[in-house]
Amino acid sequence: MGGYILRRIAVALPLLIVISFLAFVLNQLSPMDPAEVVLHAQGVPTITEELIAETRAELGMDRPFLIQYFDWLISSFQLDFGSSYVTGKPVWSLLGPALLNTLKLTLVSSAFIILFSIVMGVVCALREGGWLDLSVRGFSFLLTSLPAYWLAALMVWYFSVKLDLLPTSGMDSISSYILPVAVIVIGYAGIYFRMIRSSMLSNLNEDYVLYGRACGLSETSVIMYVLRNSLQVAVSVFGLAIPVILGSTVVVENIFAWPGLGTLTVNSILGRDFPIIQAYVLVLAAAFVLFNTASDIINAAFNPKLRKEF
Amino acid sequence: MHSLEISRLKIWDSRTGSVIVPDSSFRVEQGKCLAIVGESGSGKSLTCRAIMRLNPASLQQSGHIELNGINLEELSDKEMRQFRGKHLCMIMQNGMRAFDPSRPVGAHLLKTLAVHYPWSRSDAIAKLKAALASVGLKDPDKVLKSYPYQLSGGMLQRTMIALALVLEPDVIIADEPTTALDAITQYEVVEQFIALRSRLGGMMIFVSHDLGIVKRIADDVLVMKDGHIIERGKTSDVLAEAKHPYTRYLVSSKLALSRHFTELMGGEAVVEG
Repeated sequence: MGGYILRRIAVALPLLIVISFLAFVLNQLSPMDPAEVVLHAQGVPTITEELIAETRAELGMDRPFLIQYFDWLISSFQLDFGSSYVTGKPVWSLLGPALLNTLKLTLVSSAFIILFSIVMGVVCALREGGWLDLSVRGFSFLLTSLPAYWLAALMVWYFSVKLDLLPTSGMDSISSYILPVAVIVIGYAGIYFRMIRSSMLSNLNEDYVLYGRACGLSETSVIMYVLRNSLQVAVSVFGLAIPVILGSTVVVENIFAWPGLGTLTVNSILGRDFPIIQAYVLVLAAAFVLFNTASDIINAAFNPKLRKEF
Repeated sequence: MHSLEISRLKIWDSRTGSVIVPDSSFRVEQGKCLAIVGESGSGKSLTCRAIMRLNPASLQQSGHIELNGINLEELSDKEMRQFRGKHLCMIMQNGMRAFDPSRPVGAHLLKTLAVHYPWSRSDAIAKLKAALASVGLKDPDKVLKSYPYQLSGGMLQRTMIALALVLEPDVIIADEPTTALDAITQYEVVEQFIALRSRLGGMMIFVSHDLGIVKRIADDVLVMKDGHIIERGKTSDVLAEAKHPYTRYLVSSKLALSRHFTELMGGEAVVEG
């Protein structure tokens, strides 16, 4: 098991390097000249060629491309992503707190998504074709197809404005979490519940279920067999789902004025604030690799066959 | 008194209404082995599962299934569950898929024994080890600790036979237990089935489409086609002078295959069955 974990991490590291390179290159390909962005942000009235060249030298952009990249990469490991072009503040001082806020929102939402999808997936699979299964599937299909911005607006109107029960925006108390979390959970639980359900169903048709029953095991024991095998799929699915949610809270954060990554990134993209965008891509990619690696390791702990295959 | 009697068994799909097995009656006596022969889809497996009441909920069944004077249809779900394993033991076709893939094989065996017998864990392990050794598995300790993917199909088949030896059921239902195996392993597993019969002395239902194996193991044969029992009788009689054209066809195609094999091997090699 220890060997597997080391091998898995050894594969993850080069992947991160490749992603960091792509993040860096993509920003270099942008038609906007960073020097111009900085000068605009500083409110310089007339931008001359010399001024641009001077600023480029100041930003270190006159150096060879690879040197710029390695410089950036090494500082990144120390969480030093440079300074924002627009505000001049260190990137991490903006990104760090925003990341923390988004993580809070993501983890609370994910916990509910995992809870709902597993409970509903298992219950529906065991009652396949029954009225409960049909109605939960139909209802979740309906909820999943609602656009998040529309649902969010509707919920704000009803719960915050009409009933005056919950705050419309911000992140002041536990009750601030309720609406954003609800919107995210409604959007995703329906998708992941289906995966759990179909994984349960395919396992229920396996021979080992029939043999378990033929041996006289109680239905609870047989369901435990099925759960253990189905949840391995769930671990992989959620290992990817959590970073997906982390990266897609933009809409919800904007509507609820949540001071998180989504809000920060949208503003940075609009302002062409490259250091923040680069850092954001890197952090999100790292989250993907991290969660994916973690879910593989958890699965290998469940199923020793996977340890050998890698 | 000691017999398994199935009368007027009917199996149908409640969703489509199509009848899969219209009306089957047969009987297995104490100490006898009945083979059910037929092509895929003839209703052999469904008949076996109907006896154990293990068909999916969409398949309905009616009729009378009586084991040693007890009507299985009248048992509650809980009573039926206690019957399974202890009185009616099933041996599956594909050993590789018959065990929970994410637990060691021993976990399932011990759990099964714990359901049916009040033995201590160490007693149960000792009995299992003895049974595993008796079916020719050289390292019982290792088998118990292995995950299914670490063992071969033949080893897992023997493991199921060993479990049956410990459970000492009245009836063993083997659903094509040799189909997924290669020829040599098949031969050895059939040997184990013959030994299992002689050691337990109970009843056995052996589903197969391999007439060669049927000839070696079964006293009586049922031939099924499209859900109907089209021929029945003593194994030697049915194989020697089949009445129904379909049985004759099965026997002759088997013979043709054996003859072809003998010719290919270039001579007088005796091909059993």
